[in-house]
Order: sequence, then C-alpha cells, then structure tokens
Amino acid sequence: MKGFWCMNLKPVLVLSLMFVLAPMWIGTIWTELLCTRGRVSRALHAWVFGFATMLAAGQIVFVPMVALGRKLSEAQAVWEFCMELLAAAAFVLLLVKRGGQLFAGEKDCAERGKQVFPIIFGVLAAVLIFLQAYIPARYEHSDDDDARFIAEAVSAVVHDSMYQDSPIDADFMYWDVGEVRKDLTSPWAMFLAMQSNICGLAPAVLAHSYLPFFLILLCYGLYALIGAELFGGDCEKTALFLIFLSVIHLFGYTSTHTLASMLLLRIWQGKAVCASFVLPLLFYLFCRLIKGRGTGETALLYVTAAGGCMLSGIGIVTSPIVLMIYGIVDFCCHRKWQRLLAVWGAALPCAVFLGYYLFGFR
Amino acid sequence: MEYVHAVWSEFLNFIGGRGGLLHWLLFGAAMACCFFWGKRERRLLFWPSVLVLFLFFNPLFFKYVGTRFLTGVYWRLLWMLPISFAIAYALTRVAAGVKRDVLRVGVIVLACACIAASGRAIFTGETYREKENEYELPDAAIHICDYVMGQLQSWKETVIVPNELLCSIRQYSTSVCLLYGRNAGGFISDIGEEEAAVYAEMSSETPDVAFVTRVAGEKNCRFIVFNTDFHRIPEDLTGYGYELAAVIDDVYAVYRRAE
Repeated sequence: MKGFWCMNLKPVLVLSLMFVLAPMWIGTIWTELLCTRGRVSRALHAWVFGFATMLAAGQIVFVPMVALGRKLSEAQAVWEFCMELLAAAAFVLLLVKRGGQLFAGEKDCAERGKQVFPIIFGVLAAVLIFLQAYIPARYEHSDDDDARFIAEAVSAVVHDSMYQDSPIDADFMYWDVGEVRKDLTSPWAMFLAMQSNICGLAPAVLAHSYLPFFLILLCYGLYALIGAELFGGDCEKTALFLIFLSVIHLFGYTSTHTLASMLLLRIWQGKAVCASFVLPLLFYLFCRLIKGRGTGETALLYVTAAGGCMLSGIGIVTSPIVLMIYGIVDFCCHRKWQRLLAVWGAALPCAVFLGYYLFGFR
Repeated sequence: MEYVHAVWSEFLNFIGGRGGLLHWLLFGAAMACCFFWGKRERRLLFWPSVLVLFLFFNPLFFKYVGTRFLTGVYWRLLWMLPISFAIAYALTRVAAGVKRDVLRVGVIVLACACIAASGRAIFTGETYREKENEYELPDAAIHICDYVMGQLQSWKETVIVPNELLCSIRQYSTSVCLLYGRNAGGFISDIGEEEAAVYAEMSSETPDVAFVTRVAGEKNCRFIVFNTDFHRIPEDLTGYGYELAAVIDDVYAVYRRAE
C-alpha cells in the first residue's frame, strides 16, 4: 500500500505534535486573553492563532540570523527556545486564569443542537474537508517552484547553513542574487528546513507527503471560524458554509493562480500559505474587530502580519494593503482615529521587512 | 492606456478563461446580495472588496507599485478578495432561508451543481498522479542522484540532465549540482551564455554532442545524462571524452567523463 496510510508512525506523531498540539498549546495564550468560549471554538482558535504566532516568531528569529550568516541549527535553537517560553507562558496563564477548572465541562455549539441537519451537514463538511486534505498527501503533484524552495531547504539541512549556496549549482551565493534575494526577508524555506530537522524527514518528503494534510486542515479550521463569525455561531449554517466553500475549492481550478489552486495544489509553498491562511486570517480578525472588539484582535493583526512576511514577498506586500483597507472600513464604522492607527500600525512589521529587502545588506 | 491593458491581462491571467469568468459572475452576484442584505455585509464583504478592486484596477497603483514590486505577479493582489468566502456566504444565506427541508436540500444540491458545472475540477489526472516515491519526485531523478553520489570525487558533482529533470534533482540531493537548472526558464538567477546554449541543445531532439561535451568539459561537468527516448545521439561518445557509465530506468543514459 502506497501513500498517506503507510507513512511512518513516528513522523506522523511528531508532525501532529508540531503542527497541531504545539500551536494549540501556544495559542491558548490568545484564547485566554480573548476569553474564547466553547471547547471546539477554543481549540480551533488556539490552533490558528498558535500557528500564526509560530510563524511570527520564526520571522523575528530567522531574518536577523540569516542576515548574520548564522547556522540553521543556531536559528532552530533560538526559535525552539522562544516556543518553550511561549509554551511556559501559556501554561502559567492557564493556571492563573483557570486554576483547577482546566478541564471543566463547557457546552459546545455542536452539543447544543439536537436537530438532524446540523449533524448531517457537519458530517458532510468534515468528509469533504478530509478528502481535500487526504488527496494532496496521498497523490503527487509537482510544481517547478519547488526547484528553489525545496532545494534551499535541502541545502540548509545538509550543510547546516541558511541561503549560503545557490539552489542550482551549489556555488557560494551572496544573499541578493536573483529571486533568492526575496528569501532573506521571507525565509519560509528555512522554516521548512527546521521542521524537517525536527521530525527527521527529508524536506521534499515533508513538504510533499505530510505538510499538505496538516496545513489544509489548519486552513479549514480557520475557514470554520470565519463561517462561525459570519453566521453568529450557528452550527448548521457554518457547516453549510464549509460545504459550499469546499465545493468552490474542489471546482476552483479555473487557473493555476486561484485560491483553490494555491490551497489544494501547492499548500507547502510559502505564497500558498499566505493566500490560504494569512490573508483569510486577517479577514477573520477584521470581522471580529469591526464588531467593536479591540486589543486582542489588534495584537493578533501585528502577529499575523509579521507571520505573513515569513511566507513570501507577496505577504509583505499584501498584508499592509489589506490592513490599510480594513483600517479605512473600520474607521468609517467607528470614527475612531486610535483604532485606525492601531490597525495601520500592524503594517509596521511589513514596512520594516520591505525596507530591509530594498535597502538592507548582509 | 498601456497600464490599463497590462492590468486587464493580469486579471485575465488570474481568472483563467470562461470557467473563471462564471465564478466571477457568482462573486459579482454575491457582492450585489451583500450590498442589499444590510450594513454588516456591506462592511465585511462589500466595501473591502470594492476597495481591493479599485486598487487592483487603478493604473496609477499598477504603475507605481505593480511594476516596481509585483512584476509578473500583479494578479496575486486578487488573493486579497474574499471571493470564495463571499460566494459561500451568499449561497448559505440563500439556502438557509428556505424553510422546507426538502426544498432546502434541493437548493443546496442545485447550488453545488452550478458551482461544479461552471468551474473546473481540481483533483484530476492532469493535476495529480500516483506517487512514484515518498519524495514525490521522478524515480529517475532519485536513481540518477544515487548513482552520481556513489561516484563523488569531491563534495559535489556538476551534471547536465534532460529538461524534465531540471527541477527535481536538487530537491533530492545537495551533492548533485546542475550546470543550469530552473534559471534556464528565467527563474531564480541569471544563466550564463554557454549554459543557455547547452540548454538550447538539450532541448533539441538532436543535440550538438560535440558542443555539449566541450562545454561540459570546460565547466568541470563530469556527468551528462541524455533521455534516449527523446535525444537522438550516437551511443559511443568516447571520441568526445565521455563514456557510457550507466543506463537508468532503461531511458536515461549517464555518460561520465573518461579519466
């Protein structure tokens, strides 16, 4: 038997830890600060916000270390230390805020409804989502852009370096050569190399055979949150929303550039994660922000924007534009300059990395 | 006017033909619904989309931002539009508004059928195929790399491979380097004149073996791989300083520089 089901158990467990449990644990900082209610909702929020935090921490750690010409293992050690600090902070926060009621029962939206349709729609949505996560992991799709990203990650893992040699001829390479220049400020390939180091898989295996499964589920976790936000937590409508969204994506291959193509054909690439995760996350935060909620969501805008920079140069460009637009719409609704400046301020990390891309040097 | 045309071609590039246009009509309909449904929908979905479209189709924005930072990838700005979310939201509202269960299921099925009929399936034989291995790289690329790695004289060897393997080799091995790779297609970095000439020869069914081997020798390229299903070359290249060392997967002839 080939494919997903014959994956080694060890990497699957390690990857579940890295891409599900670790982000969830770190993300509890945000769910506690935002006072998120409901077990499923809290888990999804923690997963999504936690992953965004991991990306942002990666960006803050990797860019200076790449610029300083440090080793991959050194950057990995610093990033892991940051994650351990965040995990400890999450634990302390949980203890302080919840004390002995860590696992106290809470009714979820799924438990409240006793009707048939929410269950049917929920199951159907889950099946469609699982299918979309399973097929990219089980079958093979090749993309020529991997000639750069995966080759960089392979070189980083083997040589314990970061962007030191050319992904084509392995000659020593200055950071501002051709397209590779963009990777200094968006070191997603190094993030991939680091995850590859941690789980002991070759970067190509990790990216092609394992990552799609976890990342597509993560994206749909976020889309479920968007649906719940748009429909005020109505389970049936949220499930229906996910069904329609799945069908749109399953039949959205009108060109290789659409969101569906990014999500279901090459989610392991930074720009695809940007299109499928970061931009929708900014949209979700905007949906929450415009309701009048404030500090936590605004802080998450900063984190998400910084995380978006790690993924791709397009993240550095689109995040500020989106924030500018959301800021204007929010200002038209609330007429508060402080809110406008706070939202626009979230573009600062992008401005810093864009400036570094344009004028920086190693 | 030049910028207007350029923006329009970026837009067409993004939507991709008739199927894409139909999905955009659905998006337009969803936007219209959002405009009339109420303040909340206008704020969340309508106005942000209008502003994104205004920026995207703005020739000045294209001139000062698009041509400077987004050359060739300006269409990516359309990722900022919540296209699928808006369509799914509108369809859900319409479907949920139907009170009778049977009718509601009918509306849902009809809507899904419309999306499917107007779009293009993503999971097909064109986009996905059975894995050859866990790397999801061609077996031939892996076998060639394994062979070359077994013949290393220093920490790396430079090779010339057929075009279909250019993007795969370096994803598997860092010791097997390429004389030219994806840079032959204008990506990653610039390509030298001689490398480009070799690429042109390797793209031809009847490559100029004398030229390819001469450049390979000059560039310290110990291995040249030909696809015998495609390339028409003489089997014996000893006269050019290269000898047949291995045949991989019955198709790829690996020639090694005669020492």
